[in-house]
Amino acid sequence: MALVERSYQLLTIQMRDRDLNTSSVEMRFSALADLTDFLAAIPTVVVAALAGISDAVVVGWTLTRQAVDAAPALAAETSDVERKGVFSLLTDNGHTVTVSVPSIKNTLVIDRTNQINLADALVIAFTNILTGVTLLDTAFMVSNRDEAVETVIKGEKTHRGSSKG
Amino acid sequence: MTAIDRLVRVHLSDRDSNQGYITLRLSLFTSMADTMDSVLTVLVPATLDVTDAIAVKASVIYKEKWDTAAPVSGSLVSLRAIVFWRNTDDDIAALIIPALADSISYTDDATYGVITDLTVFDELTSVLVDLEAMDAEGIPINGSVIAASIFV
Repeated sequence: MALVERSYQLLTIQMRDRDLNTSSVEMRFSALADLTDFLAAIPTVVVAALAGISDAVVVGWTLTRQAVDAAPALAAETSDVERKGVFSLLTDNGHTVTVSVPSIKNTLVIDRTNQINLADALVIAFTNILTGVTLLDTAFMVSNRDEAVETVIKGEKTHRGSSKG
Repeated sequence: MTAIDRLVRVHLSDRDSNQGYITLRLSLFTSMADTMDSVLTVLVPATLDVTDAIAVKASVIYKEKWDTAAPVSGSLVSLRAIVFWRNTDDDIAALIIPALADSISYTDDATYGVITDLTVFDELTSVLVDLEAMDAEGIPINGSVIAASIFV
């Protein structure tokens, strides 16, 4: 099978009460004619309407669009998501950020090292997405400081749990 | 202060059905659908070339976190209202609203806390109809509230 895009966006509004317990409201939206208008409407219209009927405060919200493979094929025998390819990247302000690829192919790791071969064509194609300016729509990858990611400085195979991807 | 995250995520599964994921933070989304299209046509194929896991899910996520004032004293998220709408197809949509406002009254019946004044949901209904919202199961909310009650 393949990833099939769902036709709707899921909006989850997180709410908190006086004792810091949290809960959420979930709803779907099929038509987002203008994302900017919709994002503006959430705080000004949806949250405002909720405020009239709930004593909790809204502490955040998430809008998600998904594509799902409902019947995925069996992965290769060699696959193991705890074997990560960890790419270290440099931002335009000199800070580093990492991207982990679960189950990095062993064939991309330089023998007798844990270093990923950054000169391999498949690796270059992947890292070009991380450092490119237009590959993901008109957006580019940024760090959690909102700094543009510019160059790959290292790729290393490590083994670690998958709970954080 | 508002913290905004624009994320794309590819979930990968190995032979033993363990899952991990790649997350990239992006500078902007022009639209959720266009960004998903880029994820499916650019990011997922390039990722599958460097991993021997399989892609089971891809997500485009827009997140806001707010610094907000403290909730009013006595607010309790476990005091929920469940609100039902009958839509134009005669289907029933429902939403669960945490921390029902103290100003909204309900019957004291020991079993059912029925909210009798359904006009308190008029503003919410108007907003959801305008935005063509659906409930969490995908039932369109495009009619009027027919019932509401509390549950804890």
